[in-house]
Amino acid sequence: SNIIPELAEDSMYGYVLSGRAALQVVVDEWIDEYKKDREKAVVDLIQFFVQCCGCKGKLSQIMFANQDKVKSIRKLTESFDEESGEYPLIQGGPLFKKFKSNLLEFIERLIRGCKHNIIYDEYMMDNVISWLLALSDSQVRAFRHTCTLIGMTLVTSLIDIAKMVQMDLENTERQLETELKKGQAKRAFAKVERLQSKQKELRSHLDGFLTDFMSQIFSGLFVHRYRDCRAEIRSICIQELGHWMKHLPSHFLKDQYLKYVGWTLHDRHAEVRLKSVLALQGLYMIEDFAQQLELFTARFKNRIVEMVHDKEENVAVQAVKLISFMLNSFDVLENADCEVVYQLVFANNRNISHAAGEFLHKKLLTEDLEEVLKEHRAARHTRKIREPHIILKELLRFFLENEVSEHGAYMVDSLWETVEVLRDWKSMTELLLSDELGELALNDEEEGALIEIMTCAIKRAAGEDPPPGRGKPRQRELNTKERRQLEADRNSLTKHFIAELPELLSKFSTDEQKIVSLVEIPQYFHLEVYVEHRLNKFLELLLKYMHDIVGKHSDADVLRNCAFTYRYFINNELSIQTTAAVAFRQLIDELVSSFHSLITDGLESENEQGEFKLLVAMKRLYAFYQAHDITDLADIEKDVSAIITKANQQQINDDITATAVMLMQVILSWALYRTNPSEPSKSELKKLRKSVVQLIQQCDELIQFGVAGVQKEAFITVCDMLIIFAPQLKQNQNYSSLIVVPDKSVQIRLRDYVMTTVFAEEEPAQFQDDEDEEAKTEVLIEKRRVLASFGKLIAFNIIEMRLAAPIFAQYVKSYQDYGDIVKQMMSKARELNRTKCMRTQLLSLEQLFEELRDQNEGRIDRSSEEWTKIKDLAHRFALMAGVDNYKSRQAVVTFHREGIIYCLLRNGPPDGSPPSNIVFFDILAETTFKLMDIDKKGPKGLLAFLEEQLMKEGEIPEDEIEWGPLRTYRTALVGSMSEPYMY
Amino acid sequence: DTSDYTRTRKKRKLVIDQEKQLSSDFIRRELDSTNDIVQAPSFAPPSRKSMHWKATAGVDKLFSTPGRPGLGVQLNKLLTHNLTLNFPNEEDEED
Repeated sequence: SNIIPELAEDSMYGYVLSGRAALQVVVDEWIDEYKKDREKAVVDLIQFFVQCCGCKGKLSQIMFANQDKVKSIRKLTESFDEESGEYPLIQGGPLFKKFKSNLLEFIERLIRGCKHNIIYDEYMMDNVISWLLALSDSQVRAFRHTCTLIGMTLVTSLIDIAKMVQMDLENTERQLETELKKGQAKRAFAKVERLQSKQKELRSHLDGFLTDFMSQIFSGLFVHRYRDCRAEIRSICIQELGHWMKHLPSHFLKDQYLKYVGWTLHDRHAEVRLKSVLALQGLYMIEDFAQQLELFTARFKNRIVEMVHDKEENVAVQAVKLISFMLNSFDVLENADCEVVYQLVFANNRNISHAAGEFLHKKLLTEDLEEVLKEHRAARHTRKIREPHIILKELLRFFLENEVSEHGAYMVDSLWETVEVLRDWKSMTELLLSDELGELALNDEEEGALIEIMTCAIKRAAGEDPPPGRGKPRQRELNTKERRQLEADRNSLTKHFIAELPELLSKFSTDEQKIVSLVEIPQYFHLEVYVEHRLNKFLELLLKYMHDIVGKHSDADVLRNCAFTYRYFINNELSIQTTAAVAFRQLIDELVSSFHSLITDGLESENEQGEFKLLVAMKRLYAFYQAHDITDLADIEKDVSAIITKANQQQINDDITATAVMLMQVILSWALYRTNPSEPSKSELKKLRKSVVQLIQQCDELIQFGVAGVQKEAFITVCDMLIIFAPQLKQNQNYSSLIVVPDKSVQIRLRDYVMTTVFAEEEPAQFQDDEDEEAKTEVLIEKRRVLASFGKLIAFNIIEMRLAAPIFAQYVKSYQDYGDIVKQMMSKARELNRTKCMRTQLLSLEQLFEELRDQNEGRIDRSSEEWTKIKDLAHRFALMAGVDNYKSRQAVVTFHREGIIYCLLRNGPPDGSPPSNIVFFDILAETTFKLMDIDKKGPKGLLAFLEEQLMKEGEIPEDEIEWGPLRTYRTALVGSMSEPYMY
Repeated sequence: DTSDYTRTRKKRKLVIDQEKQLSSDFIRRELDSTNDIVQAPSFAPPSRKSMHWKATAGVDKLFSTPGRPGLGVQLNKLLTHNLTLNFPNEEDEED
């Protein structure tokens, strides 16, 4: 690389950089040289430092000897010979990758090699330190950065030596003491003398030399560089200081040093804050340091707690971990501090929430419970309370009292790796079922919460992904061991719940909130366990309770979960399949006959009870139809169709109508699914197509004349049916005859439904307080579904793109709620056909223009906000045409040609007044930046086209204000240079 | 004194920091207010419903799933199978 100085080959720098030889050899050679000629050796060492900075300057002995180091350093910089702003420490590439660690290792070995004599000779260290101080104070960043690192590391190496000397000294003092304790007679004078002189020497090494070196570097380097203007230099300082405090606490673990770490907790650079937090972690993890950290903690605790909300994820994560370490030995955290961290269990961010989960585990579920658990152990309860029960109860209390979240998935994810009771199915079930737990007995709310948490935990144990936004814990595949663990977990949960779930279902069978989760649990079973352990009797029990639950509930989610659980039992090759299928058949039979018997009463008007019963029967059938093709068991198509027909003719219950439409959609979908793709029966296809066309036509009626709820379901059904029976069916030619293309009028009605439902002006203040926030979101989500259902029809070329013009027109105006969907529609439309897409966008703009003009009695105020908004939309459309001007060329030109024609449109012959669309030229002018020069001013360009069109207008008044937009556009085409186009 | 550096600086790429240290004033301001380096935490969806929305109401999901959620895999497939432009269509217009 270009920044290896020329003398690199056989210099120390070359060795260290390339790691060619063992660093120890370099150190040994240097020591040998030092013994021969210490000045030359030290010059070499300083030269080495200079080279490490990337400087090619040569340090002569005269420069070395010069008292004015600043002058010498300036001279060095003159021959720095840099070819870039980079220097080895920040240089990329494999060669420099190991440079830093090699350099640090070299220094450590050097100091160790010199530890006996050389560092105490009042020559080597004096020179090294004074040069490092001078270099680290240079304005040249490479010097400052590199020599700060070297200087700070030097102290770290000296600390290792100091610790050895300290130990040696303690040993010597102990020996001396033993010796002195002996009576005068037995004392060996020579030994005492030797020990005393050794003691003296060690003390002088420690207090006279080592401590002095450290102080010099601290006050000559650290106190300037910890506040260096460069974050990377500050980071080095704080990281190393943390190391010093941890490893030589007798000297450094004092408030006079700690305060620097406290200050840098406020640094504007995340990297420096991170280093400060990590440095503190190293200290707080050692319980013996409690005393020395007391004052510091009092002063900086609030800031540390605040840092769990740091803008930088990693800093926040490490701050949470630091606070966990603070638990070790300090009673410094107040409840309010802990609350701040507890909340983060519900944070979106995975890493922060998991760190908070560990804290919650350590503090709330362990430390705070210690007393209770101790008491419990001492009391030796005869009742059945065990420790996990107590922990679970506390977790429930936390969950119910938190004000952030009301469901369990995110909390379970945060605690999954640390809190063991989340896998303790036995204890959870006991809490829910046992009546021998005395004061731990759960109330209704706690039962609900435990069922919620337990269900989330079961899903995780069965290998389900973390909740949305929390990411997958690992992107890689599981290894064999992990897979086995997962299998084992799943087997043990299956074994447990096969026996216990029936009882749970029975106990909570009428409670919708609880049962909705419980009936889902079997879907996470390993069904083999039933067979392997001969547990059929439990299966029968489970199916019996499931059957009862379907009969008791009408909630869509409960029913749906039941249906999918049945499906799980039926769709397998195991022997239990038969048992499940028999039970399932019986259930469906009952549902169907109940449906049939209720139709007459249910369609009578003024028979509310009859209506309700029929509705529930239909909801149950729909739930099962979502999951299974039950056509063979349920002959209901005719009846459902009859209900819809009736709804087209007269008023029947709206919920019944809506459910009938949904049912019909799944019935017909399954009919398609059942056909044999390689040889479908012609008559079946014919019948199916007829039914589909009829359903679409009936829904079209309902969209026009139904109430809101019916309209919506009818609309969604039409959209979904149009996709299922779209021209894309041609992927298999056998299905070509099934394709349904709706009439233009149907297409328009679908579009108009979207316009009135999604984009109609909101009646203001329908929802007022926060309580209704969720209801508000629900309405928005439903509208997004409606828009996207239509959007898919455009995106996949199922209906005419031009129909989307009024929707494209909403892009900017409704950006916040629907911008992503409208944008997706437009980019899909562009993929389909660029020209068509831009034509549609032109139409959007024309419609907006005409609408605005109509509102203002035929006039447009060119300076109005409304007009600016339309121009802005035109600009965005043009931007959306893509970065590749060649690809969008024809589309953009068409946009302009047709735009010009539109601007000059007249009802009659020219009458001297400008055409009524003249202002629209403003819009076209917004988009000329997408045009290539040749398309503007070339012989067949738009300017020529414009002039040709204008011929019909005859003479145009030069500065008539009303013709202004035309002049604007023309100027935009000619370009600001107003030079003739050269070709 | 930086005159020696500045003399040749224009053609050199050597990085020189005229100011080496953060000023005491700057550091004092850092200590006084940390508003710009902390932020209110963002929390996971508070209810099961809102979690479901987070998972299903994004634009990519909306364009790749049926308009009415809740169907099993088989029926979902019928719909998603057709969410493609890659099929023989003789009426295709040339761009």
